[in-house]
Amino acid sequence: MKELVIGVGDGGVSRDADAMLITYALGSCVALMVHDPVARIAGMVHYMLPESPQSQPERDARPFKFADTAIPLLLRAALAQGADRNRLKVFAAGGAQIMNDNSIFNVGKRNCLALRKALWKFGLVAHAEDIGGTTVRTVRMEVGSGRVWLQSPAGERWELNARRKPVAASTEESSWR
Amino acid sequence: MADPALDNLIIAAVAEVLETMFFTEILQVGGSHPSLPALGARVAFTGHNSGIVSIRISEAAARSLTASFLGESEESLSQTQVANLVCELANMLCGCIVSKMAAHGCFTLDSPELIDGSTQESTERPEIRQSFAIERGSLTVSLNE
Amino acid sequence: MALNILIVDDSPVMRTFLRKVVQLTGLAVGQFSEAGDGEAALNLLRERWMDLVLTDINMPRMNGEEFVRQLGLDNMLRDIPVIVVSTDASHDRIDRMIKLGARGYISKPFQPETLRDEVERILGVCNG
Repeated sequence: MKELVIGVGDGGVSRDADAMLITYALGSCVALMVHDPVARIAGMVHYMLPESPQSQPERDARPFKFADTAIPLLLRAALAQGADRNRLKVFAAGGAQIMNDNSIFNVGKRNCLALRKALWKFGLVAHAEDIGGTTVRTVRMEVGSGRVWLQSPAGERWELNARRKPVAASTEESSWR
Repeated sequence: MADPALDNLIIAAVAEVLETMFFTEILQVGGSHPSLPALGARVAFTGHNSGIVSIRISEAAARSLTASFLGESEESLSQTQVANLVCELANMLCGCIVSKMAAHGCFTLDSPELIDGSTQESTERPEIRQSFAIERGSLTVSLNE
Repeated sequence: MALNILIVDDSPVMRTFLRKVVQLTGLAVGQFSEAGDGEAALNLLRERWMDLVLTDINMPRMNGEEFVRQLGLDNMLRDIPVIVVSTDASHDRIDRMIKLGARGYISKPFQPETLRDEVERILGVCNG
């Protein structure tokens, strides 16, 4: 399977059903992933900070670096590629509390709150998330299936499962078969 | 009258309400009263014990909370919506504080009423008062029993 | 089939918030109706069919407890599922509301997905 790497402070959308989006070593950073199971479109962003700076040039230079600019940008990109808002499944990972040398602010927690705030603006909440704690996570999303896999630095792997079956997705599945 | 247990209870209630319904957090406990312009609201409760929870909040902070709560941009908000939000915030904080005071007691909350946010002191001396630095301003919560 | 949903709360911003939460479910909503107190809600319910009611407790004129009691006394309205959304988290109150016939109880503050899941659970049961 082809691997499309999303760098730190970067994001992208793919329609290549044989590809896998991957981002490495999320600490306090958050990866937001979206997937449309019908259009088979996947998007991923790896943002670093909750809020973009006041200065426009700085914000424009790295829009995927900040939650408040990265999340709308990713959602708009996915919709522009043909994803349907009502079918969109939303996943999130990261936001760990990482002991920085002298930072007293919990950037991980603030990144998680910024995630919820930005999604709510679009009338969305995550269908599944693996956030907080102290684990560094590497995360992969299969573009075709929308399945999300997490990996710890020790090599342990687990799948991120939706706590619930989205209503829209479950009816689509049954009419499909 | 300082009661550290009640102080902590107010801090916990503010943190819980801000994080779950407004996707934001307390930046700092303590600090100054909201500078003007500010809005205020209060909610009376009766039950196991009775009293009043009142809040004062800087207008800019109230506007930012309203935008987060409704998922709208700040520019699209009316003054009425912001005032409504301050009342609802007082209502949620009061509910959260009294439930933490007595999980088994039944309380009745009156409808929230707007108060003048510019006056720094109410006539009665509050038993407990706590200020918070929050995004775009500050919030003061008082509890009169 | 599209569902009609009634939101009863004296706070207009809270009604907007609740409407947004219901939209998270992906359920097809035919019509959202809103009322600021129990009395206005009962009047609306006697005019048009609702599939779900979300109600606050502390409201002027007729509070949520009296509203749910009235629903239970009305043969036409008693089977409409009701979810209570209130700042009151006391066990006594929750017990009383469930005994009066409320199907669900969410205490404020709550995360949007908590109420979304409750709406889906209750409507799933009703439609199933």
